[in-house]
Amino acid sequence: MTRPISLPFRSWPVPALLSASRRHPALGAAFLVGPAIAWIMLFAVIPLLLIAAYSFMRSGGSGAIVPIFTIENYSRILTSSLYRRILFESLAIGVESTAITLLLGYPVGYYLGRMKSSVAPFLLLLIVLPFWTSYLVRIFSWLLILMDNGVINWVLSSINATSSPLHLLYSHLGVVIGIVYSALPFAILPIYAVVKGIEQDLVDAAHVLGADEGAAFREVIFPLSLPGLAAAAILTFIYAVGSFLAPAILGGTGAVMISNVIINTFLVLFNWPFACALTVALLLIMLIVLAAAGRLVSLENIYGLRSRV
Amino acid sequence: MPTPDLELIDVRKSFGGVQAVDNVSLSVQRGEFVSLLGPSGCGKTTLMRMVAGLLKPTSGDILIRGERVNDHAPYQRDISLMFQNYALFPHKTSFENVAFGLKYRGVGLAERQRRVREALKLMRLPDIQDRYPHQLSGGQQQRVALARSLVVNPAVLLLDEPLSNLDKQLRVGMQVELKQIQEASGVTFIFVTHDQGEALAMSDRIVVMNAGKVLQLGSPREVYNEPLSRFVADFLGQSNFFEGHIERTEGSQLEFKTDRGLSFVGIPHSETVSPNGRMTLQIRAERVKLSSSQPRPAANSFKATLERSIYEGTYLIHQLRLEDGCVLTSTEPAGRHLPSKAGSQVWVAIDPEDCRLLVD
Repeated sequence: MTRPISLPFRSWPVPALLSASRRHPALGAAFLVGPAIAWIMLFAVIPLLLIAAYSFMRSGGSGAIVPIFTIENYSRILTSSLYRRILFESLAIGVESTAITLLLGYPVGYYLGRMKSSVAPFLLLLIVLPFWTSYLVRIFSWLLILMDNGVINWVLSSINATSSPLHLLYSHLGVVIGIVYSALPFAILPIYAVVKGIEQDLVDAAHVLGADEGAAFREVIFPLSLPGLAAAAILTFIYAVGSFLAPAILGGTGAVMISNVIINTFLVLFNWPFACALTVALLLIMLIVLAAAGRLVSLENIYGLRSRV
Repeated sequence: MPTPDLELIDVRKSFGGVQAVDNVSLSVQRGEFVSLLGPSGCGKTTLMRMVAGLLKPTSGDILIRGERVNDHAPYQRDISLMFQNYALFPHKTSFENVAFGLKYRGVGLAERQRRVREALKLMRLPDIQDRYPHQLSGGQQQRVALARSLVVNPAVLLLDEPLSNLDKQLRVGMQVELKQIQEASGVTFIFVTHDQGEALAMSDRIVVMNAGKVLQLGSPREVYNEPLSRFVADFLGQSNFFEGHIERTEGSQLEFKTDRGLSFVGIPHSETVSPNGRMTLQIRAERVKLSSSQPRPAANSFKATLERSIYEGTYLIHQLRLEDGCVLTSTEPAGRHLPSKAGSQVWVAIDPEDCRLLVD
């Protein structure tokens, strides 16, 4: 007769939990999803609720928050032309940067996605390489490129293209350049992933049915890459509207964005309730824009791709 | 003789030193149904892709209706291709899928609509033109794919294992339908398959390929009944092979002796006799006759032990062991078989007409 071997890990909770989850699927789901939910609750949802709560309170000056309900923070945003202008400016920069980023990023993502060579992973690495250096350093290096006696103006004047330097720094354009530069990888990667996922057979099918390269792109590759383009657009837009460092360093007083105003209100003016109200306003505007965009380009419905994607 | 729809002259394709297609020549007449048959990796798909223009041959010429198309892009060739996974455009409706080829061949909108409707009707798919591929069943997707490649009325329609994704019942039905559609349309079909049953059932001619080479080219009956090599004999159907040599020749008949000493007499003389006498004897499993007592005449009959019988519904497959230790497989229609008790003694009889000698 053999004795049953008692394994030490039998007493560990993990196998017990796993076997319990087999009997109760809901328990298993809680076990798997729980930690992530807890993390998000603790560090995203609760702070957001706090911000929302503060936004309805009064500022007592020097950072004090007076817990008396008021909507004056919101009425101030709605009535002040300054904040409306800054919000509009932020959205405008967001739209412009997104459009330029997609125009520049799509060809790169497309090219990498269609590339059959083994060089593609290396090129992808080059695209994410900037992430390995500090964002601050990269934005500061744009300072050197854009300033009046910077790289661009030096090149332009040395070939006698301009008589006086272009004022690229501390302008709307400078901020857009900085945002486009830093957002490009976020646009290229989803476009690359979707283009790479397009079956070669579909492109071949277009060719054998008589479509040349241009027609195959128009009819097959581009429509099928739209989900990637939409993902890139959403990622870039969110990133652009919420930009802080690019406008802070490259925009100066020439292009102020909402994030800079919010941080200023928190850290310089110490008016936490008003800063919270600005934060909530930005969040709401973003949600409305994204919902509208989602309705406009609900790609799954347009192309009946729900079962494939 | 009219210009063939497709002509291959010494076509080769090598991938980094590996000969995927090795010196293939082939001529296909208008309206023929030709199958490229072989195991995976035999080069049949590579050959098909070269005809489509999706691959460039390393050397040799490809002619479509007499015109050399080596340097033509796929969209410049009068061909069409039905893909194994159908490759329907997921973002286009059935109608748009079928109309695609017509659009790029310059067919006007009204004519396009008429022809697409006609094609869908021919495929018995009239009501699905507004549906997307994922809303169709596998069988419907396949018909749409066939309609899409057929509606352009190409000089050559290439089909890349189009039935392999269907379950067996549907597959047999589609074989008949595909053949009917091909005959009705009069379009030249090049059908790529690894399924011998499909190739035998539908083809006018079969090209049996292995390791990039064409091993045999002939009608289904020819390649099945008169294989020229052991590979072809083995690939089609189920056969028993005995290695041995020709013992003696008597007029138009000869005697074959296996390496284990089994003797087969009265085999008709074939032209392909190996000079050194080493040959392989092929006997189809369905031609091996079993009986419980010794048959008369006793020539070419052997005592055997029935090791096991496998019931396959339509057929019974018997595994037999001859007295010399050789294993022999025999198939017969199920329903009228010997008591298939394992271990029982039976007699095996082979008609010399059913013996085929192969050189390798």
